[in-house]
Amino acid sequence: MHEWAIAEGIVSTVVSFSLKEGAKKVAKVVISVGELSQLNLEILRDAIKELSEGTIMEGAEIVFQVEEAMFKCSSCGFSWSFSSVKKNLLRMFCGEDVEECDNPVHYVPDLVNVFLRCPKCGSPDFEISSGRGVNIVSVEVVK
Amino acid sequence: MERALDPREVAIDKRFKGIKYSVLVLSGKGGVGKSVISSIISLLLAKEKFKVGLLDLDLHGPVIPRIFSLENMEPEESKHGLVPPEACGVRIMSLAFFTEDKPLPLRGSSKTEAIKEVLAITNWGNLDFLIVDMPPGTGDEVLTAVKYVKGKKGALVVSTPSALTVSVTLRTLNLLKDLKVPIIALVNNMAYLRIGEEVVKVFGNANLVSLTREFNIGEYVELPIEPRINSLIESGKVAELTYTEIALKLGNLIEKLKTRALA
Repeated sequence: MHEWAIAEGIVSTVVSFSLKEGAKKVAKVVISVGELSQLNLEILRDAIKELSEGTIMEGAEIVFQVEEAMFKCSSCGFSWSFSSVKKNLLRMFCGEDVEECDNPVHYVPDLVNVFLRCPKCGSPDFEISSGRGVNIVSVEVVK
Repeated sequence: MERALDPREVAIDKRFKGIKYSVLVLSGKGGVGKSVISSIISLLLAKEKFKVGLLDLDLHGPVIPRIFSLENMEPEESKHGLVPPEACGVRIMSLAFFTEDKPLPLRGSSKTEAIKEVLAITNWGNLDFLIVDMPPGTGDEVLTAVKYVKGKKGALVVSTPSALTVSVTLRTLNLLKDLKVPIIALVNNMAYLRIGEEVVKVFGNANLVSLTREFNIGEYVELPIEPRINSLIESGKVAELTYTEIALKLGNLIEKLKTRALA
């Protein structure tokens, strides 16, 4: 799992942004997490908290907004959700009946086109219409 | 906040703080020998005890793991990102570690995202040189790689003497000029084949020297067709690539890279 590496990016980005804004402290950070990244939010939250220690982000409220991952086929126009096909992906890498496991899409979400196909026409040519990765949606600071 | 912040942007900046110099190995066309040249340059630098990374960004034809016989390896997870596998002193990262031999059917924006992701998650540690085997062409993925390979960098452009390739090479050179990327060298690969005492120009004799003058490129290298290269790769003797005629011809270029990295 690479939650720690993601957390490093989040903390560095928030601290850098807040300092530029002239903040003394970060009060709240809202983070959008795409479902496709398959991040473990507990680990991510703990990593952010630990890495924030000693920075102006220490003690900030962390809010995650999980964005549903959706795909749209460029060949037939069909739309479907990642949750409806997630088991197929996990089965390829970890066998049957697992809820989560390490797989390439966790590290590079765009690799989903390598492993999944449009459920309707079988095409690998589809786009990720939502829920791809991680973004910092808002930062509330105290000046 | 006017727009959402992408944490990968800062993460990429931090990764490149540990890298002294990056060499973008580009070509307008595929199949001109970019990956082999990237590999040999990496090996030559590693042989001189420099810390070297080799990043395979050829999304549709990644062959670097194959050249280094690392097809069955995977990057290792660490607290600070994915640690690239190492062979012959070269740390190597490629999407082929994740996709194996499967095709990667990506459109433009997805290519950009995939490249950003790889640059953000790879924990190179400190490097003297990062050699980047770039995607061919002048499309999205090249623009993304040029933008996000941060810090000191220069380009090495690979062509062949075929008139068709040279016309595409001209476009690559113009793009680099517009993007203000210094061009370290122009490499004319597959320029000749030695058959006994005879030198045969198999793929033509286009004038690449005039391009070096036009674009003020300090180094021009002509490399032979060397059948031994293929047999060394196929037999897994990658370290021996440093004893080939091509490696010998790249000697001056290696000295130039050292000067640039240490400047």
